[in-house]
Formats: sequence, C-alpha cells, structure tokens
Amino acid sequence: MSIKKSFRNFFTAQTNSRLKDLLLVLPTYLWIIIVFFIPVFSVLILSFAELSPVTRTVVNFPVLSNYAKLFIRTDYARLLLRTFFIAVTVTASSVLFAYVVAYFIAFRVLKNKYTVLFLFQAPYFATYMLILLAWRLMLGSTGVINSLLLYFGLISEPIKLLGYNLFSVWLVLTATWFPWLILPIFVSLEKIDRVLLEASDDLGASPITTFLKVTFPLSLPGVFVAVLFVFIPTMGEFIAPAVVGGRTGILFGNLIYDFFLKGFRWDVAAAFTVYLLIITFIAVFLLYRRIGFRKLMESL
Amino acid sequence: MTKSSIMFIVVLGFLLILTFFPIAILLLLSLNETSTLPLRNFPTLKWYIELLRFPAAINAVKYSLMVASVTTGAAVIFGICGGYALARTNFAGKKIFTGLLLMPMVTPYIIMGFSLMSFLLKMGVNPSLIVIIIGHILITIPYTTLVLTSRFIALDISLEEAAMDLGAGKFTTFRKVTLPLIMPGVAVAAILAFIISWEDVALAVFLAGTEQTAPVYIYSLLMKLPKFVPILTAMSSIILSFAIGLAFLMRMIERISA
Repeated sequence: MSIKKSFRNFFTAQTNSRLKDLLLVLPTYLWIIIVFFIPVFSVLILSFAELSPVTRTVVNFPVLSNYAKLFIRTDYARLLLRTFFIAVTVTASSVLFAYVVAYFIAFRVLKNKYTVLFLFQAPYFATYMLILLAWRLMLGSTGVINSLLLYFGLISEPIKLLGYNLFSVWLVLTATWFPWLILPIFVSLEKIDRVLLEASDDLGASPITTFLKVTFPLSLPGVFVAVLFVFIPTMGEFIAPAVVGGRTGILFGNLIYDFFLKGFRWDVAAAFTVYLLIITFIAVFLLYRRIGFRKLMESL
Repeated sequence: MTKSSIMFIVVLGFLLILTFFPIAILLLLSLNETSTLPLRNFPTLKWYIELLRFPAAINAVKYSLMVASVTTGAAVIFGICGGYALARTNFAGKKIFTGLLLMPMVTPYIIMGFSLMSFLLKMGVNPSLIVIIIGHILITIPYTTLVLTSRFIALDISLEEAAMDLGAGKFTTFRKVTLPLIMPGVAVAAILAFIISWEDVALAVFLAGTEQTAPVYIYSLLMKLPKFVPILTAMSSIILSFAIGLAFLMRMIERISA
C-alpha cells in the first residue's frame, strides 16, 4: 500500500463529499436557472428579434432596431434619463432619512432599541400597495392634504406640487423606501467600537469632526447596502408612478410594462429590459465590490 | 436634554408621521362617505356593506394568504438546505453559487416579471396563482438562504460534534440537534419570506391571471375603475387587521430569538 494510493483514496472521498453536499443546493440552483436565467436569456434573444405586429412571430433576426428605438424617439431616451435622475434623488433622500433614524437609534436610544427599529418597519405588513393607495388619496388637487389645507383656510387654491406629478413620485418613493434602509445602516453603526469615538473626542475633535472622520467612514458598508437596496428597485419602478405620477410622472418601467401589455411590442420591451439590466449590472458591480457577501448577510 | 437631542426627536417624529399617517388616513376614509376630507356623514359603514358585493376583493386577500403561505414553506426549505450547505460544507462551486443566489435579489422585479411571463407565455403556460408562487419562491430564496446561513454560522458547531461523538448519525444530528437550535432563525426567515410575498405587487402584476392577489387587485381596480376607491379603503382595513396580527407575531418571534 503506497502513500500515493491512500492519498488518492483521501482525495476521492473529499471530492465525493463535496459533490454530495452539492445536492443540498441543487434545488436552488435549478430554480434560479429555470425561473431566472433561462427567461432572462430568452429576453436577451428576443431583444434582437423583430416581431410582426399581426402574427406576433419573428420576421427578422438578428436586428438592432429595438435598441435603436431608444435613440430614435427622444422621449424614450428622456424617460430613461428622468428615471435615472429620480432613482438618484430617491436614493439620496431616503438614505439620508434612514441614516438619521439609524444614528438616533444606535447612539441616542438607550432602551428598547429594537422596538423603535421595529416601529418604523411595522407599516410594511400593511403591504406597499396599500400605502400607495393611501398616498393616492392624500395627494391630488382634491386629495386629503389639499382639501384639509383649503378647509382651514391656510391656502386659497390647491397646491400644484401635491398633485399627481413627478415630485409626488419622488416624495412617495422616499417615504416608502427609507424605513427599509434603516436596518443595514443601524447594523453597521452598532458595530462601531465606542472607544474610537471617545478617543476622537479625547484628542480634541469636535462632535462634527468625529462624525465626519470616524463614525461616517466606518458606517459606509451599511450605507452601500442601503444604496443597493433602494437604487435598483427604483430604476425599475412602475407601480408608484402609475398610481401617483399622473401624466408627468411616468418612468422607464411604465414604458416596458406598456409594451408588455401590448403583446406585439415584446421585442421593444425586451430591448428596453436589457438596457435596464445593463444599468443594474453596473450599479451592482460598483457597489457589491465594496460590500461583499458577509455584509449583505448581516444586514438582513 | 441637549439641543441636538431635541432636533433628533423632531426629525424622528416627522418621519414616524410620514410612515403612519397614510395608514391612519386610509382607516379614517373607510368610514367616510367620500374618499377625501372633510368628513361627511362620519362614521358610516356604507363601504363595508358595499364591500360584501365584491367577493373578488375578499378572495384576493384569501389568494394572497395562500400564495404567501406556499411561498414561505418552499422558500424556507430551500433556505435551510442552502444555508446549511453554505455554512457547514465546502461543496463544489461555492463561489458561483453565492453569486447566482444574489442575482434575483439585485434585479428589479420588472425585469424578472417581464422575462418570466413572456417566456412562460411562449411555452404555453398561462398566468395563474401557481405562476405567482413560482415567481415569489424565486425572489424569496436569497433572503431565506442568507438569514439561515448566518444562523448556521452563529450556531456552536461543538453541539453537533458532541451528538455525533455520542453515536448519532448525520441526519439524526441534524433533526434532533441542529434543527431545533436554529428554529428561531427559521421563524425569522419564514416571516421575511411571507412579507416579501404578501407585499409584492410589481412582480405579481405580470404573473397574475384572473385570480389576483390583494395588491394586484387593488392596483388593477385603482387603474381601471377609480370610482371604486371607497371599496378599496374598506378592503384595506381587512388587510390591515391581518397586518397587525403579523406584525405582533414577528415582534414576538424576534424577541424570543434574540
């Protein structure tokens, strides 16, 4: 019996167990491949096809005309830019709000931290759609807010900004998103060693300097998770714009959804979906490198 | 109390109002004659009585609960297997798996909804509750797996080793030692999956057929027949009563597992 042989035995035993353990994740693998990858891949192929408006069959393949649609019709390109702009502003404002709350809970609340944290998340059990419905009733020229202000004589005519428009989309998305972002930021703030803050204070730094030079940089991983959580869904958002966006508030996602509903425009919808996918990829690539698997896991 | 504390409390109060005010308004308006203020003929049960003539609204809540329950069950099983594998074993292609696992988590629902439904329609599968469940399992797997992975990592491995030293097999150890110990984690994962399914509208509007979940029902009625909004306010209090129950349940489980 040579050393070589026993080594080989050991090696195959290990490979066997590594393959056997693979069985545990096989269902998840299959599910993600069948329900996610194959459909997304089929959309990728579809985006290069031209469908006949009548028979809905492929008449031309491969073509780039679907991709070109974004540049031929300037309003489509403008919609994509507007969506990017809204996604950036919603991300900025909701992360800021979430940061304030998380900071307060982590550093100022001494008892029942998790109850306060939970208080902000509780409305989510009511479902997103219900909160959107509520905002639909609150906004608008005859909505709750405007009619209340009129009733008390605080204004003489409805405030236009609180109608159904792009501003309302920003407001509603910010209000509905920030509670979700508190947790990841809170987790990274909680982890900061308080000794560091005392040291900074002892060395004569003002509270603001301590925050900017110590607390904030150390909380960045949580902020990146929060940015990832809000930016990506907002790029694809189409429900809130449909509910409170009115005519001026629709976003790129609404375009895709409309093309989907009109069956013969699936080719264009597919190309636009691919555009969205590319933007998502870039965002994930930039952010995930700074987060990593472990951080993401801890933030849930 | 310092100046900055007062400022914080003011901001926090404002944000809490921003979160809870919409729901309070919804409840208030469900008891009102019109779906805006000022109050007229308040309180009235008119819309709740009207709601009885909309069996589809009640069914939608039922379908939502069904979809969320089945999704939760499946996603938790996937999560236990995946979480155990990620935390305790060194299976082939671990890196690829984690990358793959995170994909549905960082992809906008509209992309998954459009891809899945256009693909299924081409394959001859029509939208239905089952298709919604298939989609919901996809979006909840990453969450349940991640939550359970961290629970498995936090679990002291020596307990399992002790069981094995005492002669228990791998499966017995898992069933009698590991599983009971991570039960709180399973509960957290289950509730997370339930909420994600229960509150999803963006994916479900693509996948829903004639049987709609509650959020899809609200969305389509709001878009197509806005004059029925008062019915929706009445329906919302049914959803809210479930929501409050769920919220309490979750808080209780979080307390126990902390």
